[in-house]
Amino acid sequence: MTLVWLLAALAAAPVLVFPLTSALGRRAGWPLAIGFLALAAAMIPSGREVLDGGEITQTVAWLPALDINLALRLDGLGLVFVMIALVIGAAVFLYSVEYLGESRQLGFYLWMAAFALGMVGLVLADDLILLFACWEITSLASFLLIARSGSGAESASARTLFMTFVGGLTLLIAVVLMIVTTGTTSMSQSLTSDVWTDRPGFTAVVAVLVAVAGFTKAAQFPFHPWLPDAMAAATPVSAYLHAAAVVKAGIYLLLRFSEAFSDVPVWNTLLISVGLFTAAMAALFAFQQHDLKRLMAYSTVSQLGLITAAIGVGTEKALTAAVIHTIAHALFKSGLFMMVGVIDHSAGTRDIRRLPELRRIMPWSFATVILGTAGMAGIPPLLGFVSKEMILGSMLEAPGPAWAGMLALAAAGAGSVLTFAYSAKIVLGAFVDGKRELKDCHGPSARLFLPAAAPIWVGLPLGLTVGVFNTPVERAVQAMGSSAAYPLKLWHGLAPELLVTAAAIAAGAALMTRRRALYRLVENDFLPGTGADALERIFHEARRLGRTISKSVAADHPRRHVVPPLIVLTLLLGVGSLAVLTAGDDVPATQPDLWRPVDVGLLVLIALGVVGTCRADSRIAATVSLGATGIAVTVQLFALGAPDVGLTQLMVEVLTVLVIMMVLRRLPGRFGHSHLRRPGGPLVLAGGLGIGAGVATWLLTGRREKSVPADYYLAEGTKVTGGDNLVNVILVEFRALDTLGELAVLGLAGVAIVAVLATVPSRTLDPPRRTHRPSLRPVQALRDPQARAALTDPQSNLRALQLLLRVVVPVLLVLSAVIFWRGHNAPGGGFIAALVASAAVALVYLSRPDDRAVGPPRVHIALIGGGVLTALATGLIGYADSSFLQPLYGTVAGTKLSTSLLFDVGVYAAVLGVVMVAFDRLGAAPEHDPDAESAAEAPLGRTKEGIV
Amino acid sequence: MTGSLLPLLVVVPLLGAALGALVPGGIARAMVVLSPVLTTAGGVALLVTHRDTPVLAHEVGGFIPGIAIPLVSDTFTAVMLTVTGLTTTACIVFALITGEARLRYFPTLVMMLSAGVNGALMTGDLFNLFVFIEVMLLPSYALIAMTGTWRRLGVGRLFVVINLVTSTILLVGIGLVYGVAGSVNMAVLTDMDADDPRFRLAVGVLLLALTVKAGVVPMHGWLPRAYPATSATVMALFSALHTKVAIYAVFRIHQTVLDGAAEWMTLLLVLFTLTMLVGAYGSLGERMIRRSLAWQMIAGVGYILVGVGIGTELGLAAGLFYMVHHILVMGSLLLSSGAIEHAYRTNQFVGLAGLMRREPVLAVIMALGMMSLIGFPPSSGFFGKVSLARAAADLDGFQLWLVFGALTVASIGTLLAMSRLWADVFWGPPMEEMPSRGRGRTEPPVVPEDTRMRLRTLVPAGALLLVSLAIFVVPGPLGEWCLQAADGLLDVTAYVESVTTS
Repeated sequence: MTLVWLLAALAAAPVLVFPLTSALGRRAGWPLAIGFLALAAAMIPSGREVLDGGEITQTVAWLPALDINLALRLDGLGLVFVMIALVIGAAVFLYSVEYLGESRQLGFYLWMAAFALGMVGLVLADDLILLFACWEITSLASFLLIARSGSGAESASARTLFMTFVGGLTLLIAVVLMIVTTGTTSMSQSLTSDVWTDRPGFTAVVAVLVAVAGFTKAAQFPFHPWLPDAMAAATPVSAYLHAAAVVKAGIYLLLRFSEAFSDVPVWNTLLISVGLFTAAMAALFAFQQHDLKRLMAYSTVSQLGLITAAIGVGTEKALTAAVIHTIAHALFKSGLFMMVGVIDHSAGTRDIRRLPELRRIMPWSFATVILGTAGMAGIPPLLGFVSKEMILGSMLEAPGPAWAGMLALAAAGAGSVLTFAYSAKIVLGAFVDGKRELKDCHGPSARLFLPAAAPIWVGLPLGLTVGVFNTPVERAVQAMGSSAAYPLKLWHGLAPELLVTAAAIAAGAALMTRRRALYRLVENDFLPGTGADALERIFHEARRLGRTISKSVAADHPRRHVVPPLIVLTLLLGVGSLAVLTAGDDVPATQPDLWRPVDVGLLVLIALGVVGTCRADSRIAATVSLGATGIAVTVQLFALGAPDVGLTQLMVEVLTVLVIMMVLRRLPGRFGHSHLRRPGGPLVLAGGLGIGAGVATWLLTGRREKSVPADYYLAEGTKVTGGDNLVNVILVEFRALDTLGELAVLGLAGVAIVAVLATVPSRTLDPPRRTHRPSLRPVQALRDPQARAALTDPQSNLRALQLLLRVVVPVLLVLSAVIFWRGHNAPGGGFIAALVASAAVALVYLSRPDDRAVGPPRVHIALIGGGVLTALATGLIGYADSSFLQPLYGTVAGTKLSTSLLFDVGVYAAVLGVVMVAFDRLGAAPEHDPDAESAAEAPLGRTKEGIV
Repeated sequence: MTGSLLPLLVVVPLLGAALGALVPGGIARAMVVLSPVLTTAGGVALLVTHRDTPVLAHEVGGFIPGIAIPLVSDTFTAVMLTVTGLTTTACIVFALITGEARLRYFPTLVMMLSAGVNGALMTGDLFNLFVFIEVMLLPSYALIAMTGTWRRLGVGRLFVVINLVTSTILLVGIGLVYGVAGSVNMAVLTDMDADDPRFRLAVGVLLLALTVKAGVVPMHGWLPRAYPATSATVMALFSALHTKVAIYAVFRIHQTVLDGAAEWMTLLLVLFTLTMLVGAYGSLGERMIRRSLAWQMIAGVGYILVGVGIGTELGLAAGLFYMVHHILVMGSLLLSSGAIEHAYRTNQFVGLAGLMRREPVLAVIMALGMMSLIGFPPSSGFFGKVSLARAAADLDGFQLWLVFGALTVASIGTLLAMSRLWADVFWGPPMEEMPSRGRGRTEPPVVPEDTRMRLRTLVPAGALLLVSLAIFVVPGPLGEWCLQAADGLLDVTAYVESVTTS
């Protein structure tokens, strides 16, 4: 069976889970188990090829841009892990059918299948990125499996995800560094690169990163707490997790990369010290536990510590030991976990303090657990004995001085004593000791018991015939770059490791005779807090940091948010200007005649206007100051000789002030801003920014000849377009696309006003009455009826204005038409003309006694839409020649005309429309019905946050 | 596709906007769906075209090159058009489903926004870029204040003010560029000496304005304040369009005009990595889904722009890849939140619980979306993260560990933030049994037991998510486009030639 098909079949499993679970419920485990066994069988031909010394590779391109491939490779090491994942997976599935509750169990089977996929993908991957992807999938799958075990497991699953995620990140960094430095994404090529011998510094960095990644998954100190935490998951999940999947992924990674790192001192030291420390520490913790499952979890941590240390030693014997112990551990640990589930099912608890003497009703289970724990404790003639003894023996080969090896062996021996002790505690606690009566306990069913017992029982014959593993383990060790494997034998002679094992068994047995005293001794926690507490502490601190960050910008006032960009701008202008001034090359000289006396006067006026606007406390005063500034700018434009721009600016200023005045009627008369009492900061910022902008303007502008486009416009503009007014032809011909955009902006501003106001009830737009009432009081106090009428009666009040209108409006309209027409050749054009017409509209509006809109309803929207449409249509006419917005020329009645005139009509309509919208929508007087008053009392910002 | 058709990508939505204001609502709503579909189709057509023709340019109005405003499309443009068009379509469909599109002139405003986006993506002229950004902004001023909580009006003001200030800075920058270089045509500006400090200062001001729009730290604060107060639909639109167009312009201008070569790269990398970190952890401090996501937008901006900071072909390509991923996933997550709000009237953590069992479809969509954001397989985020890490590995010394460190710490922050969101919203007791945490105005609305989402409200989010998943399975084409786009940014010969000779 090819590797791609194996992965495809495994990828199909999660999909098949949906129909299977809906048809069979929890019994979906049977077809899945059969499928897994069938896949394992189908892999036998490939496996045989590998055992004969070959290797199978397959590559499909995935992301060619980064040379990432779905590259698969089956070698000896991969074969061992594939078989573990498939066979243990099948056993776990069989067991789950009986163990799980009578429901669909979709999540369980789905994530278990995904888990198996990730694990098999991981050990087959020959692409470094694919390896990382599968690594992450196993992280995710374990998180999901733990999380689905009820609310108690949720925070535990989050901690698990966090730990494995951190390891994933270090792995990612390691693999991208490897890809860049070794120049290939292929793992097998990368691991055999010369880089690892040529660049020791780099190698050490990558080795540490990989080691950390391996430690997080293999639950090595200080990343171990997640594994006991993950006990919250259902028992079959734990069995798979501990025996075949996540933690074995960590071991696989360390084994795989030992090809490159087995001679790197950092790698040796780190793995041996962390591994042995973890082994001893976790064994002690395991001995402390009452909950059988937690005990098992710590025992896994401890056993993996031994394997890690062996990988760290990195010699042939050590690697052989690591591989064979991985196999042994997968068998006895998966079995033991499932047996804990069997005990749990039978007695209703896993707490050894509450378990009765189960051996009386469960003799077979008793025997099975004895066998399993014996393997764990390394008692002959089991497979666990062979592997454990080899690990102990390999410790003496640890690189460095001879005492280091002795020390390592001593540490491993100490761990073995504890291992024996906790193994005995399992047996004695569950089956021998206990005061509870047996009446509510029952023996397990065969369907639950057999899949659990099978992995343990096979350890017995395998231990006796350990030679069958010689070839597979040799191939696996060869895959890690060693020339040959150390031969596996049950009896190694009287080696030091045998003595250590014997001593450990003796010491452990001696300890257990005084177990009650010992249990009391270790009852209290050694440490002030658990690893989970420490992690929760980290999460808590991270959240606090998060709140600090989000609070730091928690203001809706624009002031808070405008300041940072302005500070950065000031810094940029300052640093940039300094860079210009200190650069070696001279700044080009300024062009002549840039300054005139009038500029200084206008600058002072503009500055005064700005200061006045900022200092004003009354809104009206601010508006007047703003208007003054605008007029001064207008004068400046005229002084510069830009009548078109100047005229436009003038009209815009006038209309802006008008619109602002209308809005002001709805706002309080005064700003009431208190911040002006402490103007230091804003003043410094404004001053700095002003100076920066001034210097930058002085340095960057006015220092070159006319630009190429300017020369072109002057030389060719009129010739090309037939218009004498260059400003106008630039606007409506050369850069008509800009004008089209601005036209849309202006026109749609009207639509925007209508759209926003339509979503807000009009009464909420008005402030409470008291803010504008005072102004009316003097009027009401007037006794003289005529004087009073003059101020309050709109009709008589407006007579003069209405009279004026009759003269002014026609004049304005004619003026507007003239300005429009002459625009192409002289100052004028659609924009200015429309603003003039708008002035007429404004006058008409102001002369009305009521707030009715000028013109029929929706005429303004029609003008806007029509205007934009006209401009667009004109642009499309250009396609008749070659391009959008290309002006076409023709002569009508002796006058040279351009389609851009039509474009200008669009401008005219849209501008007029938007001004009419402004008057219509913003001009309506505030309403004063009593209901509105109370509604308006509640300020908008304080209303409930919720969707409206 | 030929160059002369490029203006239609602006004209069609703008035409829709103008017509939409005049015709009855039903027709306008039909047009507003059609418009981004056409944009997407245009983007795809351009992608096909650029396989043979790397750059298409068109001088609008038929004037001579250098005088006319050029509209230009290369692979970068085409990818952006396609993905923004796709996301806009999803947002609009969602607005139709929730009824938001029935608000008066909503279709018109959205179509104008699209026109601005398309124009800004295609223009080869800096002043024209300013104009199209204004075309984007104006309808946005209205959209942000039309739907959402009452706070939308207050933050609408914030949004307007910050954008007016930013547009002013942008305009000043363009003015200074013209002052120094005598042109605002990007192809012409490539002739400028990128080491001239005067030119650099001018372009620097321009880029500053764009980074404010993008929400780069320390100028980010307005974004997580303003966006969550409007509706989910509008926020999703803005997330896909506003910040991303600003980023697009940074890529384009930094590479094309400044030639990408500057010793301020380290400074840029510091700023961008800081943006990643601040965004990731700011997300952790919030108690509302969309506020948390708003900070993720900032983090995403950091991730994307780090590509510019790296500055190599792979760096730019990785940034672009991340941008495509981020647009899609952020759109999916925001629209999912919108669906939650549509059914449950809140997106506050305190008002939501136990949604995993209550709304399994939503849970799947959001879980995958969040996984994508964190960078887990099987999603586009996986390759986004991997390609950035791969590109960063080409750096040396301080820069290398700066980016790796930030990538690690920021990823952890995002993981924690998303775990928290998940734990608060999807785990926990069924909503009816939630302990009352009534504290005045934040008291969660009472949820009737039979309240469930309607599945169709999840369709747009699900569709965007599917694209993200598809990118994981078949990342090849997108990777190819991103590389091609990065090549186009590094080697501007084809771009310049196309603009100056067409």
